Amino acid sequence: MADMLVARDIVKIYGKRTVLKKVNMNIQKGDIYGFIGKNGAGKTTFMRVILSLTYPQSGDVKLFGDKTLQEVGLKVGSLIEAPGIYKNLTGEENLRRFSILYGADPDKAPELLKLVGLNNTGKKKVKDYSLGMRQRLGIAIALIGDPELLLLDEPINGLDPEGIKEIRDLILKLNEEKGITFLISSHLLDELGKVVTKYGIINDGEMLEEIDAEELREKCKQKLTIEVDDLAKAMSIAAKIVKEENLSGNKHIMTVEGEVSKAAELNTALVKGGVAVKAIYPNSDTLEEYFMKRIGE
Amino acid sequence: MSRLLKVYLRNIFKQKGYYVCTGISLLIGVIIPFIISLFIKSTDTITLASRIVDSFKVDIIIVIFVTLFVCSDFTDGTAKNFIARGYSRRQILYGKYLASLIAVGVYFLGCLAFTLAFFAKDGLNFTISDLYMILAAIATAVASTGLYVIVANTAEKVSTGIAVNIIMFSFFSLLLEGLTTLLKLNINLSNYWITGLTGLMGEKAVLVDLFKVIGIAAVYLVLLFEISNFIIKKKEVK
Ligand SMILES: Nc1ncnc2c1ncn2[C@@H]1O[C@H](COP(=O)(O)OP(=O)(O)OP(=O)(O)O)[C@@H](O)[C@H]1O
Ligand SMILES: [Mg+2]
Repeated sequence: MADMLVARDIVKIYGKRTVLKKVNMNIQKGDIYGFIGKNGAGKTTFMRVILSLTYPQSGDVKLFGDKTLQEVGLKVGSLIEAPGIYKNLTGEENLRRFSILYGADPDKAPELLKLVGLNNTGKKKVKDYSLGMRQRLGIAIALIGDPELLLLDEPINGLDPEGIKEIRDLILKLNEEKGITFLISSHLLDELGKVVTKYGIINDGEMLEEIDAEELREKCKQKLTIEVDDLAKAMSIAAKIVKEENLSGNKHIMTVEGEVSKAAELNTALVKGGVAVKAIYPNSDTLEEYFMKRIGE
Repeated sequence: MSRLLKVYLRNIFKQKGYYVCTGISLLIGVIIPFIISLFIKSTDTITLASRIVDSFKVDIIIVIFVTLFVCSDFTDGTAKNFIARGYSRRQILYGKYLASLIAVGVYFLGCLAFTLAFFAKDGLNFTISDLYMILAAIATAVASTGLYVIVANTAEKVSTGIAVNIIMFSFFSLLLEGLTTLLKLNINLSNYWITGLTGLMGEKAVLVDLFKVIGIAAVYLVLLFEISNFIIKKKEVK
């Protein structure tokens, strides 16, 4: 797999605050990389560093193998925070102007407008656009010139549920059909979860981990929830079957982390030991729960 | 760079402010003087050359349309669309300067055409020193446009940009003039300030004066761009 974006030890300090603490990131061709973290975690700042909008105190960034942004910038599309658009022009004029700048065909502007669902805006100036419409135009600008890498900072910000689905489908389509690589930041985990192939979790300026979506699903390990009448007795019986550190209990609920395959065995032992088992069911951490655990909340 | 220039030319020439400014300038510099000249027959004849220079050397007009153009990238947040696609801060500054120069050039030609249309009947007797005068005015405009672009590009906000630029061409000249009187100097310092270089041309301008103006303008330009490039090198782009 070819490296599309490799960032090494990025440190960014604002005043006395270290906003990025030696952040590393590895994105391979074809990835849809979900960059998640709370408000103020440093997602936007990191993306701004990648795009030379701000300079880090140390660390370096390589794109498309070993290139700099200056060399491959025309093939890197981006949408960072509020989209940069000429407010006194129409959507199409905006696209035409940036197409010239990016060395792309301005006549493809209507096609792009259609792609993001803005084909009915006609002569409306951007200053009269709604928040969601501006966001869509920002995405269209990012798509000019068939970029190979797209950096989208909270792209579904301000979009309605229909819009969110459209953009999600668009991301998938571009990824599958054109092999475009994405770096998408978000705190809306569930909305992103559906398309992401790799996660980077950032908290308070530190990259906690980079993990494949597959692997993450594994890690959001299953657990067993068992409702019993006598918790103390149930715990002592279960301790003989599963590892003690995996056991926890609260009132009438006993929880077993992992070891879901032991469900039948546990049930039999508990009943034999005289514990009434009211219910036994497996469940797993959601991405949200995993994330919360990871950032220690 | 050509793509950058193309976009910037579009930005400046499709901006209403440019035409409003040019219109006002023509009104003040050509049309009103023409109307006045119909009624009041002045005894001292103003030469066509000095009319041409006067008509376009209205700094406030250049300041306004240049600042509006340069700052629009920041007020609309479009500056990041340039940087994020690999254009450097330096290229952007030069692109804006070139586009502004072309706009100032077109503005100058407009003023020239209007002045000729209204006043050529007074006689087309140009002397070589008139030509030097016009060239000196052009050199001064080239340098001061650089100053205005750099100030606006650093200020980012239209209001700050216009305010500082006005200070640059009016306040500084006044200050230097005041200083000249105060120190009882026999050279006028304000003539050496970037926006006042035409003052170095004597009554009957000679080639040496023109070279002096061009030389000083060039030094100012190089200095300004060096300083500016240093300031904006690592500047945050919002
Ligand atoms: N120009 C700046 N000057 C000072 N501090 C800044 C600047 N830009 C960002 N910060 C600080 O850096 C930290 C990270 O901000 P950043 O915008 O990167 O967070 P984020 O992860 O994108 O958050 P959100 O989810 O809210 O968008 C914040 O504490 C913020 O206050
Ligand atoms: Mg952010």
